[in-house]
Amino acid sequence: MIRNYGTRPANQNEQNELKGMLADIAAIAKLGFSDKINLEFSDEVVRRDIVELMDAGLAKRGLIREYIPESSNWKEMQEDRPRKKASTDILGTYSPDSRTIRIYERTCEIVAKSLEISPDDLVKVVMAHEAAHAVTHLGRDDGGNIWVDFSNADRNDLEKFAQSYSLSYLKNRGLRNQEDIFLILSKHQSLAYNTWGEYL
Amino acid sequence: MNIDKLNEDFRIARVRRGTYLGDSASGWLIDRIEKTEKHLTPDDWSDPIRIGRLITDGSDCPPMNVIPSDPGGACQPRLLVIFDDKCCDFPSRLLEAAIHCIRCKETKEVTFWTPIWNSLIWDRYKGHFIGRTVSVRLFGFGTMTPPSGGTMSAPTPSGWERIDSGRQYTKRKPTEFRLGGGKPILVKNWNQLMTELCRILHGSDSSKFFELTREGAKPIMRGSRYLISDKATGLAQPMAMDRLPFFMATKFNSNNKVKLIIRLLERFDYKEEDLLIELR
Repeated sequence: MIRNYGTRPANQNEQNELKGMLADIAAIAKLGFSDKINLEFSDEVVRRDIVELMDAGLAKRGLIREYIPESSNWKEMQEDRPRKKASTDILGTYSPDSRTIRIYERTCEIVAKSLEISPDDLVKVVMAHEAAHAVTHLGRDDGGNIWVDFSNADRNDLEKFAQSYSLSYLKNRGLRNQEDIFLILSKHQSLAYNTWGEYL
Repeated sequence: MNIDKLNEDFRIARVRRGTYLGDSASGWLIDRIEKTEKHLTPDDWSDPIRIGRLITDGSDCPPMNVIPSDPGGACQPRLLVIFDDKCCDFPSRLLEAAIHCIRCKETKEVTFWTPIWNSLIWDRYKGHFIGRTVSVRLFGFGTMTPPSGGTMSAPTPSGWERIDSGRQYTKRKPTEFRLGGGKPILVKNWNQLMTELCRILHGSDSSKFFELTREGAKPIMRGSRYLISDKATGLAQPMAMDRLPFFMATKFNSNNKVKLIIRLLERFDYKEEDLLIELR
């Protein structure tokens, strides 16, 4: 059984950073954005996510044992499982109902170490992706329209626009390290997260 | 990056997948109907196209289809159906609305605005509105039905049942099923239902379907490694899928087959209630 760790609210700097991201992404998408988005960081590691991380080559078994020793008896870890690309939001989530972005810090740390990338930059890439979800949901066009049916929208559409807008944001801001991380991460993600190529 | 193309695709996707004005499109429509009603006379009901234009006139109107109206236009998440003040037009207008819902899967809310109502005729067509929120506004009475002013979901037609993971299906066999308000499909047993369902889901997204072949069989089945595979080996009592290059494990009871069906629906973003079955 995995221990559940804590959730902490974002500090002022992190909130300001998110606010800047939301404004920048809304400007790229030519949408008005004034809604308050909550930001929190969680140390919780979901068992299903760890299995998915390993399958997608995003986390090394040894590292998981190091970070979450209580997981080492999982049968799944002993099996020679078929590899599949990551298809869910395992590093961060955006909840349209509570308008909350949650970043899974510990999971990000494991992935960053496995891929030998900066954990801070990885968190920012994840935050940009989730911010793009929030903007595509609540951003208002010229007619004041928002995406009310966001929760029931096609997942492929949701991820395509979140990925495309977050990549545009990283490029516009000239954040080369984070853009590189975005590209590295994409290689381990399923097709839904890799349709941004049509806009390059 | 080609931001213009990205923005254009995004706007199209948002409109096609349900964008409404603010958070209160339902409120907008009710307000607009109430305001319009004050100026209508009984004679106006002989020209519902004109009434529809009055309702949707102006830039503040959320994306909406109206019946009757001039032909053309994309499917929208909202449909307003205006009835004539003649009893003989009631079934034909209801049929038009049903056909619209079959063609436009995007339609999620349907509002009937009518001076008359006939439950017997509604019973004939209500199956086409399942899964959508249906409201009725009776002109001249001033209240929405049900009396709370809220909306009602189209009831399940007799004989059809929603699939339910908590129910026992032992010694029951399906005879017919329909997915998401689609055409009913006759089947003889659970295996045939599963393969027919797989054929529909594969047709909607073949790459997503292929991902299913990588999913483990647990907890639905212990004796088999996979439930669906492109090879027969490793499956417990494999059955070839009709017109698909896949095999399915079938050595499990009907309750577990229902669990597999629900897993298939979830993977393709359907809800349990989207699948209706008729049992014997």
